[in-house]
Amino acid sequence: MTSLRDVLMPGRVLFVGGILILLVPLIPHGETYAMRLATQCALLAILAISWNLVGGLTGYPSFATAAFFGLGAYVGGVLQQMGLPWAIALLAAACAAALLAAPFGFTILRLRGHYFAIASLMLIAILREVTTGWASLTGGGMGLNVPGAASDPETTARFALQSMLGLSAVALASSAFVAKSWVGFGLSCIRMNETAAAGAGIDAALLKTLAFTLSSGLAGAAGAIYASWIGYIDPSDVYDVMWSVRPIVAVLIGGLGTVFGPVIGTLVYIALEEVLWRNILTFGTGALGLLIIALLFFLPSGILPSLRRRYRPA
Amino acid sequence: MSAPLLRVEGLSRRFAGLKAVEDVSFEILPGEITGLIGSNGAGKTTLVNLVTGHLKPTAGRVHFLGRDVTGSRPHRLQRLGLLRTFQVVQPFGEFTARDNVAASAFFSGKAHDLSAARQAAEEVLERLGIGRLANQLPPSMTLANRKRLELARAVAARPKLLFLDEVNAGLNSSEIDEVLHLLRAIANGGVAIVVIEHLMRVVRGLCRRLIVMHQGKLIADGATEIVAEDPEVMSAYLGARGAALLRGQV
Repeated sequence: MTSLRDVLMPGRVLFVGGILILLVPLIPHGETYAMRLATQCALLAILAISWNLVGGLTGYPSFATAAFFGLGAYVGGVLQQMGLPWAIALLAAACAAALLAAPFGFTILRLRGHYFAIASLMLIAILREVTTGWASLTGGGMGLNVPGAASDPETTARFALQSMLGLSAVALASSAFVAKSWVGFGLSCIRMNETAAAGAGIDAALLKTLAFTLSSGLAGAAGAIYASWIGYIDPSDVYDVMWSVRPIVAVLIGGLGTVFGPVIGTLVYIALEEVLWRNILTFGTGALGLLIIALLFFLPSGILPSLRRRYRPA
Repeated sequence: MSAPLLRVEGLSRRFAGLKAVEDVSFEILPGEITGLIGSNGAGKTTLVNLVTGHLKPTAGRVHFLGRDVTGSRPHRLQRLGLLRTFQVVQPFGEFTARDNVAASAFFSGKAHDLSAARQAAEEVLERLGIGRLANQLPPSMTLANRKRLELARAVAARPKLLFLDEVNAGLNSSEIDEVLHLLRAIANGGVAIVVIEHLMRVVRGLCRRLIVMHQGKLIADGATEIVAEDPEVMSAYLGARGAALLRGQV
């Protein structure tokens, strides 16, 4: 039954997001490390929540996150360079990613499992090539300078953090809403048994495309904020496959298909990354990899479902 | 005579060189229970796949409720009232029995929201005798109960025509009797049923009309007692020698 808690959840998430945004100006001057870390956290959370809609809820393991992230970064960057206001650039980036995602998703979501994963991965390579080749617009391999939201780096960083927090709240609220609505119910049916889903009257192609489009729009918006935060983007950075892989790892750590799992997984992932990178400088990434494998072994369904199982009232 | 619910005209499907279904035509009237029989590989399941939108025909038309639905996708046909079950049960494994049934009640458009769908689901489960299993997950249920759940999912969508693909496969004799009882009750509610079966006992007990397939073709269509004695049908089932032997003995 749809409980009141489920109905209120998206509102609460937005409220908490709003409070966090209001707290950002209180961060003391010069705390660049903390600010960078918080922004990275919010960014990874957005991508993880976005991936979870398709990979977790619907059961289609997409590797296309980096493609839409990169596309959003470039659309946002190019438009801002043309002098368009930041908000318009952000919206256009989300729309561009969603507009590409709808037909692309509709096509490749007919594939399943490994085949879908590989097809989604290809989009990164395609967009990277197009971006590099279209040098007159994107600067090609030379990269693109993106005017920040403000002239001084500190204000830009604060604004970027606020935007990332805002977008992650929006992402989490929409994911909570989708998960508890009939759309999420239908997506779960598709994940469990697509033949049965069609037999139950579910338009699987439509619902899957819807989830993929929403997911990609979020990734595209995150890319646009990233571009104006970093101030300089190039194809090998924003179309790096790690933008696809890290969100997946975060979701697997936190809990596949759960609403809050991606956020918890993000916090754990970033914490591990920082601790290891600081302490084992030469083998940080390697140690992180080993630790992730260990986590997946011992908490195969992720932190959140494991905790729930442990503390569920008997 | 009322207008046919389903009209199939010259339906064919080839897989590369193999003619799995060849030029099959028949009609189904509202409320009747029909048996679709034939030996393994006769094309029964392919025919059902073609009619219910799981496969596209290479030739021929399917009309349901007077409209051409050839090549329509399964979820659209489901919403119109043309449903099927599968030989191998297809539940949503992580959903309770209640949510399994609620999904088809909701997405078929027969319930306006999820809580109404869950309520409708409980009623259907109760009617099919598995009301007490509403909170169970399909993997923990017996095969007989999973088959009932499959029927409950179909019934919750309030079908007009239901294709049941070997709904009795794997059940023991007393379980089969219970299923037959349920099917009669569903048919009495005004649902036309086509039973795809191997077991002559089931077909004779349930169907007044039989459609027989052999090597992709429809070889007989008529009243059960006549078709079941048809020499061509018997030779298709038993082989020419077996049928001759049987005739000689009778």
